[in-house]
Amino acid sequence: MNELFGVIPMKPLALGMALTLLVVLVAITASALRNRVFLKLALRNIPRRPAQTALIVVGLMLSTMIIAASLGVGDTITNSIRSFVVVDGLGHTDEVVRSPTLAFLGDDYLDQSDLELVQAATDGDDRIDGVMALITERLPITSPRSGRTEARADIRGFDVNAAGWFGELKSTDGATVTLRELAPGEIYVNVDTAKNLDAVAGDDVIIVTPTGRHDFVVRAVLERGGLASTDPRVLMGLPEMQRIMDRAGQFNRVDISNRGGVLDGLDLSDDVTDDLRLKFLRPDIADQLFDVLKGDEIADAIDHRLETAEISGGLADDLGELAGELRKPDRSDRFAVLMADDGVAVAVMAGLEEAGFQQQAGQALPLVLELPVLRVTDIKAFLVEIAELVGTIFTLFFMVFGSFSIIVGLLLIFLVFVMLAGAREQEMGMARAIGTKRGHLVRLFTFEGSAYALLAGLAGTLMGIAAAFLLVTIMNSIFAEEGSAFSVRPSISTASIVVAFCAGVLLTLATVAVSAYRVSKLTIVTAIRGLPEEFVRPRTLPLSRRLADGGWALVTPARLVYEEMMARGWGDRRTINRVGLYATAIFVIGAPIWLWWIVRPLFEFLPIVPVHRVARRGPIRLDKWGEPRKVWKLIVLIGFFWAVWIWRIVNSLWQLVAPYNRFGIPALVVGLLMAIWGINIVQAAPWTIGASLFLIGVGQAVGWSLRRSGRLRARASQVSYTISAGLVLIFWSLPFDALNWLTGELDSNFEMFILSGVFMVGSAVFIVMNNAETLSTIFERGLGSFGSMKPVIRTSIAYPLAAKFRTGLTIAMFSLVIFTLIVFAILNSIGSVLEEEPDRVTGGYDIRGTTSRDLPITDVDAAIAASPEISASDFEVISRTGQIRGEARQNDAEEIAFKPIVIRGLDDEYLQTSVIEFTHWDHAFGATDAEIWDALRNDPSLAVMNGQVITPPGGFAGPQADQFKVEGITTENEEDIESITVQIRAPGGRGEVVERKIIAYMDNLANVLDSSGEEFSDGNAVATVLSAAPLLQDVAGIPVPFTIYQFRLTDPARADEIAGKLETVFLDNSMEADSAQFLIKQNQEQGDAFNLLFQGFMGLGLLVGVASLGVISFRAVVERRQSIGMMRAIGYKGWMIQAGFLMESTVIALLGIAIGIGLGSMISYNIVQEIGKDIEGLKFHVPWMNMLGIVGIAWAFAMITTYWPARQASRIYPSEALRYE
Amino acid sequence: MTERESESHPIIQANSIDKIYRTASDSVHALRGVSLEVQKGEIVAVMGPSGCGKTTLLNCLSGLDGIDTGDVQINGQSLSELTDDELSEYRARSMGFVFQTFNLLPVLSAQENVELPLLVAGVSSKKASTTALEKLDQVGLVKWAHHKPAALSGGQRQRVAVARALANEPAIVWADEPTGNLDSENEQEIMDLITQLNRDNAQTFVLVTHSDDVASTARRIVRMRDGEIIADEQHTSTAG
Repeated sequence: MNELFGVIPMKPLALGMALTLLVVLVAITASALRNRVFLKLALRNIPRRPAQTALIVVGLMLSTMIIAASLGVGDTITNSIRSFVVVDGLGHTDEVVRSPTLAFLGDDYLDQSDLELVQAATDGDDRIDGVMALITERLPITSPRSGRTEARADIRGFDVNAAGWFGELKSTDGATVTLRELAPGEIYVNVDTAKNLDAVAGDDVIIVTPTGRHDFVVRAVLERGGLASTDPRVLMGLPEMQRIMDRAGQFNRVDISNRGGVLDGLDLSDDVTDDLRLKFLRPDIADQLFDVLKGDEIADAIDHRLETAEISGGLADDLGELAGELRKPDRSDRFAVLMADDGVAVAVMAGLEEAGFQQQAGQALPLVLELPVLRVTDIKAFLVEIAELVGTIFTLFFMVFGSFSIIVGLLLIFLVFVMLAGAREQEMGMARAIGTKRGHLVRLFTFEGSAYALLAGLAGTLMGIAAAFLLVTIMNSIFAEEGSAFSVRPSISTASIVVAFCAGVLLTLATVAVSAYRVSKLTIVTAIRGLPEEFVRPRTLPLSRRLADGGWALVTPARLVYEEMMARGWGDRRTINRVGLYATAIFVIGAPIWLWWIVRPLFEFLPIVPVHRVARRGPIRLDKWGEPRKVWKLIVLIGFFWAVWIWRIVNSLWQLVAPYNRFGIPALVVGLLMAIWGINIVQAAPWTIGASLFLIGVGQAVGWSLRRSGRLRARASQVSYTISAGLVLIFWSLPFDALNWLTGELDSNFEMFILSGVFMVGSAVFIVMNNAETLSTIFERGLGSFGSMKPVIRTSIAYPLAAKFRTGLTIAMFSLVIFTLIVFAILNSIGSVLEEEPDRVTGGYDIRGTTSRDLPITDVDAAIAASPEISASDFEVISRTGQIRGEARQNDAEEIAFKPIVIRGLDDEYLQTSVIEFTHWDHAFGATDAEIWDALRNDPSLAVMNGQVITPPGGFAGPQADQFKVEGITTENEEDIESITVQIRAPGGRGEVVERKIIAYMDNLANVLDSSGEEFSDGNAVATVLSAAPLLQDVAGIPVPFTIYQFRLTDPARADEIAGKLETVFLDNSMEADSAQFLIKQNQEQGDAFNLLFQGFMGLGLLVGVASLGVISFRAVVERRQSIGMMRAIGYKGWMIQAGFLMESTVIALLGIAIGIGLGSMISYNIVQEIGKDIEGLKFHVPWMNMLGIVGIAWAFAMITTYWPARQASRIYPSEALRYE
Repeated sequence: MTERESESHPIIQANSIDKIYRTASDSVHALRGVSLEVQKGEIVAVMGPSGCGKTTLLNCLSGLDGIDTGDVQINGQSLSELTDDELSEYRARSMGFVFQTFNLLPVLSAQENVELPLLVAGVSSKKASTTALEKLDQVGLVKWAHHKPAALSGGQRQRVAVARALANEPAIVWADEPTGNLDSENEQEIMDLITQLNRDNAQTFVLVTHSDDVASTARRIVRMRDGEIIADEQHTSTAG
């Protein structure tokens, strides 16, 4: 992976993090050398108890492990896809040259003059070592001997003279073969084709082309890779291919191989592609195009599109560069090259329409289409980018959902240090009493923590890599089909290892610093006497002093200089040295600021702080990676003082308002401001955080008024905290759109899932721990009648509820993990609606068959009647659909740009027989689904669209800039809606604009299976418009054949059998047919497998939760040694001590599990309701067995972890325990 | 064992007990052939310099620790014949303990601490609660019943410990430096309490102490040095 989350470049990130870690470690080391006594004390603590040290390291390493595992999974996926697609699939081909006719129903063959053009452009170019003309077609092939067929094999004819440059061919018997060896009528097949056809060397096979059936003999079976690729492929000489396609002297592709090996060639790809594009374009057209587009207005419009459409990666760079070119007075070659890139051209055209430059768009469109003479695609670079993208998606998915586990891991680190501090409280109290400062204690802990953090970072990274490889291997075994060429190749890049290690160590160090600070706040007396902290009230400085501190903070730089001067005077050598040190620090501490600059795009991705938008509109333009270099030195220079300054201001502000915290004022004010800000910037995250803070403030204000009025004085804090947490919990439990009347629709993303988990679990745990006594009474009463277990139950409830902080933390850890697992388990069970109501997906058809557009079926009924395999009586209905890509926009809508869509033309049979349902329709055209289909049949100017074009009014789905969305209708609308009119045209603005009235929107389930067996699937176009068949020709300008056939059978039970026969009967049409049930099952199984894998990953989080119980139990045995001795003295038997410990873990685990299940179910219910707006009939369903499994495993793990310390405790000899100090 | 038999035997009988603590490199002979008999209702103080084996003797006699040679019998029952669980049960029903560091469970209230041995002995929750309040009343702490140990003074904590030790009305109460952490006023209060309880309930008390004031309340003082009893003297105390 080159970019984390697709936005943060990995190498600079790794470098920045390594540098930051280095700076931190150097600072710690310097401090350690200046405080050697504390260093000695810290280091001596480590080997004192090896078992405890080991446990701490295990506890600390879990966060690092999860980060490393996520990155490892991403790298492995990227590398595996890259190897599969690039190394094995493409071989030496780096660029391909095709006809500029974008393959939209037109003839895309090239002739000799085109090849000569390519050869002239590449001759003498030492960056290119091979140019080869070829024909590639997807055609059916069958083996008469075995009777098996491959409906869409990749049949290729290569220029045998050039093929030598594109790698060796190896036959399965190990021999090297060449295409020259093939005699007329001979072909090679690769192992995949051979397997599907059950063919061996020497077999006769038949290839079907538009010109008829052609007999061939298999000369040899080839191993995968290079020209033999990874999918079912057939190889022959170009003349043979031209013969069977009736394309004498023609070909449809020219492959170019760059100098170097399979992957080295990539480095030259950008340059070669740009140069070739420049050579293959019409300069006069480029001039005209520049004249249309040049100037600031359109450049600004492109910039605006860059922001709003959230374009990233290479395309964003190109568009940014293009905007720069448009601001220049003269047309450059770079401009022409950029416009010759399809992606850039499409984005520019969309930008023009969006910004209202209709006239320029109209002028530019024909020029854009005419600009290239030949189309050059850097196919390898493009596929590598796709591989990166898939890897990035996996990393993102694992990292976002793994973030719960990372949070839990950090809580564990915190817990470990809280307990370490607890163990040393008395000695630290003594140290403070004899004059040790708080800062010294922070250092002591930080030194010790740093040693643990480094050890844990190392162990965590290694374990994470191992976990990643294990996960992907399991994933491989789940997804890999038998004999599939794709295999997972475990790998992790150095950058990922560095990032995982540094992130782990830095996060650990940060947590260590926070816990060290907390430890240092201990009160000497309570520490020495072992009293609870609540015995001591915090000291508050007088208002005048706090105000003065605030004033000083405002002029921090002046204060630093003043302090220096007052300490020693200007002339002193040490003052001069110190000033020099400051200057060095400015540069060294610049590293984290540099890191912030690197991480900045993360905020762009997680729209919590839309910094990028502010930055782009601000005085310094930060919208290109290159540009900040001009200002970074400045940023680094001011960074140090800026950071210190802001910290001092924030800190003094907090000190100023902290005493008023009990009135709830700070939380109320900050919360309110943040909530309003969130609403203003249309972001759910700041709104929800602000609202939660506000509600916390409300609880505090109630507590203050209770104290003031004297009512419930003794319990004011408890009541106040309970109200705060209760309100927050209620707020987060509300349905997602409950407050839309107040906030309007807000943008949200994955971060809301994380936030909801953290806030819900946090508040629930707070409520439980705040009311521990009440709970304890309930527990005891409930369990009080268990004879000899009574004393055991009493202590095992009392102990965890007495240590509220650590118990709360552990419960929170457990809850967070169970929360995520439950949400996944519940959401996973949603899919069952497909099985329960299959007609909503299949439209009432039993088989779905797709054919090649080049080999259309002329008369399906006649073909069936003529077939001995099947008879017309097997079928009740045969419906036909044709489809093409297109673009659409709504008339009179705010959005004026055309967006990609899929256009479907339906035959009469389909319109009469489909039982696909509508969720919204214009009742003027009918009262039922059938009447709407009828209306479409009777009036070709009417159309319907799929449900995905209707936006939900909030929740998880934010606006998607590149998707066609209907305006004025939301999923919350009543069934009856007003029809709208859309303009439809062919891709890239070709052809006429056609209008259709959209009278209804289909059930969202209707196109779940659309991608199955499609001839094309356009990732961008989820919007689909469906109308009677004439729509296709109206848009395309030429007749469009039907390619989707749906069959309703007289005996649906025979669906699988008849689907198989249909493939044979329609072999000449390259039909691929499957039963609808099979497709549903396949869809469900893939989802299930992924969810299962993901639950496994989340199980790592459970490991953290369980580890925390282990830490607590081990610690408890040490802490309670004397108490255990006493209990043994008064008659507790060994098993009672052991049972007590196990029961304590049970109490914690069960509380955590109960909270996790309750909240997970609650939020899942809300999610299901939200999705239910899109998919009618979706039911909230609790997967009891899965849930029981999760509970059982969690509890069993908790017991296993506690068993060992519990056993240890039960074996403590009473006299030894009582002697222990 | 019948009441009659138990009256004819000493309640605690130790015969030639030896206790050796062994470490990897060293061994310490903590008790050397100690023999001792204590009659029912006696208050016996064990005195001696630090490290002479007082606490070890108390632990061995009460069954908290094992012995290497010799035999300890409580009410005629040899402790070495009991399993760990039987020993625990025996302690729950027949013994009470008071320690220098109180050893109250910090997470339980005073009342709950006193209830604990009763619950261990199988007494019902209701009865345990009533008895615990009675015992706290006896030690003058009924008002503090719901306070946790952290909220009590040292003297109060030790009185709760005494109440806990007496909750089951055990035949023997073992007290290891019961006033070691207390000032003289609290020390006197605790010792008054012990002598009064001994008078009222005829319970046997074995006290380990190096305080002469504490020892002075006992009827008998056993003096130890280097793991051996060097003197066993009857003492005319102010008590009883």
